[in-house]
Amino acid sequence: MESSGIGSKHILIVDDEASLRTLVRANLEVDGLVVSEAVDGIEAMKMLAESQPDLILLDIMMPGKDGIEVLENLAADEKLKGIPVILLTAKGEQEDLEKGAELGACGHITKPFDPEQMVRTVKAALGMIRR
Amino acid sequence: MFLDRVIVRQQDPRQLRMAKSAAWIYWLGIIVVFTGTMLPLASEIDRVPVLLLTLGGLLSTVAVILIPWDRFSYKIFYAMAALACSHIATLIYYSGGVESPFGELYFLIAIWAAYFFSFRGYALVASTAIASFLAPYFYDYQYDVVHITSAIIHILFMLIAGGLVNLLVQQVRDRNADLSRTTMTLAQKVRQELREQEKTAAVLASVADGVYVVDTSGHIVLWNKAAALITGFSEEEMIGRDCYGATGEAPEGGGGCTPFCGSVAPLDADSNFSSTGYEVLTCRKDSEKIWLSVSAAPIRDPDGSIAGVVHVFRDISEYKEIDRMKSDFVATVSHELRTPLTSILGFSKTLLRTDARFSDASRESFLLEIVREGERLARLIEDVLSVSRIEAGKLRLDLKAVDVGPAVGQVVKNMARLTSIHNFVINVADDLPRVSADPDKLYQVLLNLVVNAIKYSPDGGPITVTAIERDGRMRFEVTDQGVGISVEHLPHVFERFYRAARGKNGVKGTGLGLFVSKSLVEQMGGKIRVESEVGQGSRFFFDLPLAPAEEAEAEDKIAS
Repeated sequence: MESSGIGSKHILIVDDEASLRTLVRANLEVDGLVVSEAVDGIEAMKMLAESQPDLILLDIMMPGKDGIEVLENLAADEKLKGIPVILLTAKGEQEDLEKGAELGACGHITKPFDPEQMVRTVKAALGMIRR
Repeated sequence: MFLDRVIVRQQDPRQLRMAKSAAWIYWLGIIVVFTGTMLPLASEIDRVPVLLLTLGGLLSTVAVILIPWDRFSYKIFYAMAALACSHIATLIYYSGGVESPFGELYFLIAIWAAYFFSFRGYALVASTAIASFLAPYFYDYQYDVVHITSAIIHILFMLIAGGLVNLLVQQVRDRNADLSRTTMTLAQKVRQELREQEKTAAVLASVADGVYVVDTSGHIVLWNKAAALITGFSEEEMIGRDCYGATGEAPEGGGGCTPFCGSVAPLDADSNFSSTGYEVLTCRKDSEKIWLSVSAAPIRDPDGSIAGVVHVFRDISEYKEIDRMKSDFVATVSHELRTPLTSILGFSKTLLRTDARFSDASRESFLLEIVREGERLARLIEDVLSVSRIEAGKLRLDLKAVDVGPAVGQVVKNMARLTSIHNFVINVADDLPRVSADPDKLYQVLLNLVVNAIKYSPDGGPITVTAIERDGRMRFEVTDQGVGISVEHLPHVFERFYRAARGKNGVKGTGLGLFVSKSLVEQMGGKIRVESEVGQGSRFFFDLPLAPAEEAEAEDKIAS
């Protein structure tokens, strides 16, 4: 999870679906972002303990530790609670979205999503940080 | 024999009154006759017969007073016997003297005749009258008047007392006859009632539903066999128990158990309670949790007040479990449908992005992802459709002679494309006979087994697909070296919607693949089984019949 240089932002994608991680990675990397992957909440927390990305794309429905639990862990950790999080959700997970917003998620992307739109949302979120 | 004839029922005031009257009138008669006989004798200053007859009268009185009323016959008998004895003694006394002894003989005959015939119910009057009227002729002339007077009084009392005894005897007989009739009717009714009860009991015992009845205080008064079977509590344990506290012990850490009576409030006699149904999660005696569906209806007295409540219940745990599995299934399927769709749409749109350039290698990998996810979607839809066809009994098979090698090869080829961490070993001899199978269904089964092998060996490793001829049948095997299946899950893996891990270790699925595979194999005349050990991997295998030789040969000719 090393930063590839000044200006290149680091994104962590947490999703249990390999093909979705590949999809996100391909679309973000082509735009010059550095992407690392975690298959679930547990792995994500391990990786976050070592280095902090500029943004986290977090799936809500995951086995083991789900997205909401990860958010709770982030909120409880001084070092991690400033990292912006965009939730990846399926339709009908409104309750989780509200809970996510309460826990400090700065946005969400609903599956299935348009990759171009996804990239714009991520960039906007990073831009927000810049301001 | 005459002594036991008349049993006066003291509980019956009329009988008792009558018996008392009869006894006292008899006694009065005795005293009057005695006095009438004694007075003239007393003036003669012959004190021996006076003493004898006085003693007889006293004993008679004692008998009338002391012997209980329910032994009426004895009372009369001993009263008379006492009197008779005094007369016999007098008779013996006189037998040595100048006077005629027949007067005393008359009394003996009269007394005993009266006694017997009064119980006989007839000839009392005649016997007493004849004896009394004849008597004076056997007496000394000088006592005539006195004796005739006493005889007339004697007869009068005898008549009245005899009549009363007669009435009493008649009444007792009637009553006894009535009683025996009533007893017979009652016995009949009791027998009928018992038969009805037996019938009801038999019905209650044989119904599959649990039935129990609680009284207005909430205590169980009936608990049938099925109730005992479902809950594990026997009739002996439950009768008399408070229904609102009756349930098994909660399993450790399993939370509370609702009583069998559920949340229905204790009965209020005035309540407008008609009938109600409820579901209750409760515990068996062995602490196993069960769902009961209970219907309750009031039992009313003839006056309309509620006497109790009959509850009929059945164990719906299985339905509840299927219900839960179905909800799970719907949630899983929608998730499972959306996931590949997200990838397919995502990669397609990525390929269409105008603002970014992807290398040819990337584009090809995206296409591969689309194919992979598309196939996943197709498999899922095929499985769901198969389940609905299997459940509706509409699964159609197109049995053909299928070449084993190519069938296995196709599955492995399609699957090997989708994983880079597994290596496939095909263990199929070239000269295998063909099997009788529906080629599409055989493909579906093998595919499901291989997909499972991939899914449950997340760290990669070899997956072996074997086909060998065994005992005139073809044995197919799919073996992996993955996580394996624990003993508790093993018997259930072929059940509909059943998922061993329920996604806990990240393995996704609908829980349909193995159910469908099992059904398909069975439809094709085979049987599917599994052997597994946690941490060692799993081996799924099934046998299919070989294609009939003629068919195989015929197709060979057509092919050549």
